[in-house]
Amino acid sequence: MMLYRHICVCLALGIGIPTFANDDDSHQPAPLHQRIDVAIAESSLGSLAQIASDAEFLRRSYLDLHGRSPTVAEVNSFLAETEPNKRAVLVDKLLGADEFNDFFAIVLDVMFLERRGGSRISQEEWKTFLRNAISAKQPFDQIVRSILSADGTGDSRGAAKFLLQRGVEPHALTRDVARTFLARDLQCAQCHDHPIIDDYSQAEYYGIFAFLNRSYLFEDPADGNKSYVGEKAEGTTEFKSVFFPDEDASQTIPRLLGGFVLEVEPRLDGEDPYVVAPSKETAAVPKFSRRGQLARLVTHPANEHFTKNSVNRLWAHMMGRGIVDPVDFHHGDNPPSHPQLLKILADEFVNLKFNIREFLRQIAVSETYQRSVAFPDEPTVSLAEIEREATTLSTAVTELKAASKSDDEEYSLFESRLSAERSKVARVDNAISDVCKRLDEHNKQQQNLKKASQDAGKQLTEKQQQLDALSVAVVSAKKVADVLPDDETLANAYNQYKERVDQLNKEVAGINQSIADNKQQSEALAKQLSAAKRKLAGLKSECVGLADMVAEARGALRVFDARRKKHESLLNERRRRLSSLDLYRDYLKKSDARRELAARLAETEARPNELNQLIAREDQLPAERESLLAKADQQQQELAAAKNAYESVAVETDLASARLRKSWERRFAVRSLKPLTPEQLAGSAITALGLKARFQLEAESEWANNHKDKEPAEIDDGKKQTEISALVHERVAQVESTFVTLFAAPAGAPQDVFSATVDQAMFLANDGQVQDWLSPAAGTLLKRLQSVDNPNLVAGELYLAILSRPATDTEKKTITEYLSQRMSDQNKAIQELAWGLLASLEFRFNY
Amino acid sequence: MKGHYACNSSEHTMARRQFLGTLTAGAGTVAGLNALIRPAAAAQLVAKKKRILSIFLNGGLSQFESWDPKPGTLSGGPFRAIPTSVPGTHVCELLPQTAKQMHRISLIRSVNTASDDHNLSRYMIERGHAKSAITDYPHLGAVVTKGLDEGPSLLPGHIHVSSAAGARSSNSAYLGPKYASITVGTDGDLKNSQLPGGLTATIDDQRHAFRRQANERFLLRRRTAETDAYVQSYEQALQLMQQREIFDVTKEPESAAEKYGKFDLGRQCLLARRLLESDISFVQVSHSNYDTHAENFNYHIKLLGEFDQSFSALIDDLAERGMLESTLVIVMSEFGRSPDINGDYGREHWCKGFSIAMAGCGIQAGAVIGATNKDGTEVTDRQVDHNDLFHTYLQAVGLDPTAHFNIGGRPVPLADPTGQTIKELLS
Repeated sequence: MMLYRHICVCLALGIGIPTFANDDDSHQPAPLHQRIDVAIAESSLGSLAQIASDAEFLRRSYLDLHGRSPTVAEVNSFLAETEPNKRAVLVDKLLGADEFNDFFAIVLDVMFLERRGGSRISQEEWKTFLRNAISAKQPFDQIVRSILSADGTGDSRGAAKFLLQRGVEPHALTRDVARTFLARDLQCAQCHDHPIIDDYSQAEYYGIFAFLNRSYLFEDPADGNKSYVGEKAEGTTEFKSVFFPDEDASQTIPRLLGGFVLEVEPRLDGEDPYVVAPSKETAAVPKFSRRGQLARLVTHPANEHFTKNSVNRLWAHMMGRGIVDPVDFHHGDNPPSHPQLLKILADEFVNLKFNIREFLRQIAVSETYQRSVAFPDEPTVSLAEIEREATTLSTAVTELKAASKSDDEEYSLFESRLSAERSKVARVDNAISDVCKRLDEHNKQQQNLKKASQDAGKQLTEKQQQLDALSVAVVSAKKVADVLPDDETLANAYNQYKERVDQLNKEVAGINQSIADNKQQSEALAKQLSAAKRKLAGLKSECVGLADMVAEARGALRVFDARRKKHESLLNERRRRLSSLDLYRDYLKKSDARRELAARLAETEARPNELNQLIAREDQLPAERESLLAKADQQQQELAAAKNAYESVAVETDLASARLRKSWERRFAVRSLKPLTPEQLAGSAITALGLKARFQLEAESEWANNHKDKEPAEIDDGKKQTEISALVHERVAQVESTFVTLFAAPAGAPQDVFSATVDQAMFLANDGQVQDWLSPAAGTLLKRLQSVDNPNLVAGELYLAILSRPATDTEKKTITEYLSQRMSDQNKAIQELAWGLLASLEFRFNY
Repeated sequence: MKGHYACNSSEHTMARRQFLGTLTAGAGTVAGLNALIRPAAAAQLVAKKKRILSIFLNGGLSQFESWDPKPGTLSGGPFRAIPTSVPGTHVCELLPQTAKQMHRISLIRSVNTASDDHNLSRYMIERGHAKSAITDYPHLGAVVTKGLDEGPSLLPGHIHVSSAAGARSSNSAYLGPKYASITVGTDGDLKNSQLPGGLTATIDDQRHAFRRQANERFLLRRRTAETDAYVQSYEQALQLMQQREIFDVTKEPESAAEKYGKFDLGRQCLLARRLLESDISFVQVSHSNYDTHAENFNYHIKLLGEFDQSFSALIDDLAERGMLESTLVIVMSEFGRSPDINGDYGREHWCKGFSIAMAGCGIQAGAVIGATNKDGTEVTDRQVDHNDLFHTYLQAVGLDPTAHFNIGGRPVPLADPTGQTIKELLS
């Protein structure tokens, strides 16, 4: 019986899990950071932004890896360093520091939970889980596996927040597993296929749902309703579209896009399916966990939805924009900007065994990461070059289109063959299942018969013994009756014996008959059984044959699919290239036209002067004067027309230039301007204003105040330090939460959407808390600046501390002027200047 | 009159704050204000801009004592129905002033949200979606503000008026903080809208000038929509601080204060009108507390006494100023009250057939849509739910409820796609 199940399941598997193979190539490929740069250069048409300055690189690395701007000392030491390799050295230093662990715990927290609050698992437990995982250098896939398979017991307590904070509600989890880990926003597909995105289907949604709908929230009544994730061992998944409520519901097995179908689910015939059965007291634990399988399949290195999503999110964190953008919205109509690069990154992340630090390091040392936010100069490519390339590309596109059309035809041919084979398989499968059922039935009957025969045999033996004994008794009774013929009692006894013997004989004959009947039936059954077995063997061999055919058809299909995809991606690449050529062409043509019109305008503008001079002379005849005036009038009109023509082309040129520049940004030819996240804002404000030192002093004095009654001997120094750092942490967390409340998107909403609101501005401008941060308390920047009386030095220190760079001469001059007007309240004036820089764009953005 | 409230929701514990009358009179006249807020040339354009005022009657208004009276029936209660300015349409006698405005108002008497829970039902009514563990949905005000957003404006678009000023809420969900409501206090207070102590206006100008100069330098390197938005937010803040008078109802003539009513709701409605005049897209005022599990009739006499005065004054005023045709006014409540009258003369929660009133922009005036049966125990005609209402509100101000917003590249429908606009209500 096991054999038959295996066959069926394998066939039902469809594509099955593709095996992941490392490149056979023995030669070492170029390091990832170089391959990134090559891919970006290839798509950029020779217009890459400059490499950013040291100060810019320093600030962005600190922000991206430590979540804060660098301190004055850090800026000074990096700028003074002459080692040519200093940027790579810095990246290694940042990745190796504890601050990286703290900050990346925040990055992953926001990535996975999107600032959902809730108290089932405290934020502290969850952050500790993330921080520990990052400190322990856990690979990215392992972290995700822990999150998806956690049940809230033991070590998995913190990791369970992802599931528990969503109440283990299977729809909430389906949506967020797909969005967070597979870059697919399937929310609409809960109730119907996505109305505007073809790729997002209801079937895909429920494939994931089927992994999750057996899991449930368990609240332990014996422990203050502490929550856990339970999982039942049963539960199927059906769905129908709200748009077609009258159609039959579809059923689905657990499956992920890309052929990841739940493998053979062990059938525990009659066996208890639970390790811990569901009850009011405990969360159920099944022997076979579908959620556990989900954790495994989602994070499988061959699951490219997962690997691409993972690298894309890390890339977006570093670069300010995903290769797929937005990061949770990967589908046919929103393709990656650089599909090859995305694949390279995903494959390399797998090769790096999902090592987060190494992956970030490769990005950080690439030239692509280090580019300036300033746009490159005018394009260096000429219109003629562009036209030439465009012609070649157009031809290539036409050819590829034809090729891909024939691919499509062949593909659908194979697809229909495969589906024909599959339906044959399904028929055979059904026949096998019928025969198996019949076999089971026959076997059961045969066994019944055997048992009946055995019972009959046993009975027969018993009866025979009775008969033997009675026969002896009959003979003796007969003898006695013969000897004492008048004794009625004896005669009766004899008769009774005789009757019993006759009766027994009859019974024995009956039993013998039924044994014979059974035997006959059993022989007939045996014949049927062997016929069924023969049929099964036949079906099985047919099945094996069919399976081969299916495998063959599938193989062919895969080959075609690969070819088709290759053609398609080539086609897309050519198209992309063509469209960027178009942008260039458009811009170049328009700026040529603008130049021409500017020249004409200048010419036209020059003319009226001569005429006016003529008109100004008073010696012409009236008619002459008339005609001069008319001419002047006409020239005025011409001038207005030329001005109009110039203006409209100038506007169009600006638009074309903006489009071109936008495309440079999308192509990572120039660095995106990233707004600081709320945590980066808090971290940078604390660093810039020296609040950490102030908090330390405050904490120490608060601690001392709380312990003033203690003798020095009573104080445990280790404990004291821990308590003081807790007090510092409290103050830092308070600043962080202020910024999160003001600057973050609402909980549960995508956190990558920028918002500048009036209440943020009013907070920074007027709130007492900001004024307090700017007060010259001990340890702070403002306190330090109180004792500096050279305005140039004040300027230098302000810029280094707040904007992480030296002030320019103009900036020093501005500050000197500002201070010179405020001789009587220098300290207030310095606070205002510090505020001005804190509220400036340069502080608000990561450039 | 002391209410006995059976369910312990936040609505019940909300205190009614008395107006303290401690507002200081500022300079400036009412007439000059609009010119300050926007250039005169834009005034014409702005007149066509649409907006919504939502009056939320907190706790659950009784439809029997307001829009759908059933006098003389078991559920009818003690009050009569009175005729209105629309022949054939009657409302409860607790709304005598409103009755005179009925030719400008339409009623929907057949709302069923299928939830008798304050929070869940309020969520549905305000957001057009059932509450879900999966996604938080934006408030009507956020959707409307974003939908009607025409680029930079000096004032925030989504304002809730409450007894005290508060921080920005998170009711814009995925639409982002820009469209979340800011809470203005009845006394015109707005958080952080005054200079910190020790800072004079001159010095404030200087520090902002320094900030702008630093920005100019940065913008030479790179300028994006995001840098524009950030720069803009400071200018907006400064404008808002300069024009705090918009929030000051004491700038209204005494006659207006008298007309709207000298109590919180009156002042809030007056403030709301000032805000709408300043082109704020969405304003919500609330009136509490209609959750009358006991003494339903006495409470409705008191509450509707206030409501009738303020609401009728508001409708009349908006119409007089020519603003009603571009302003949709909605009177909503999370649900109605039960036909059964309990032993405490109270009515329980009731979602299976209650009423909502609308007036103004895009709405056919004087219409009555839907009906309940004789005793008001069920809807007998044209049942609608929160989702249909949400579609209708959007459609009324010219937004297509089936359209999509683009949220950072993600298409998001304006309203739940399964809802239907109540077409016969639209003008």
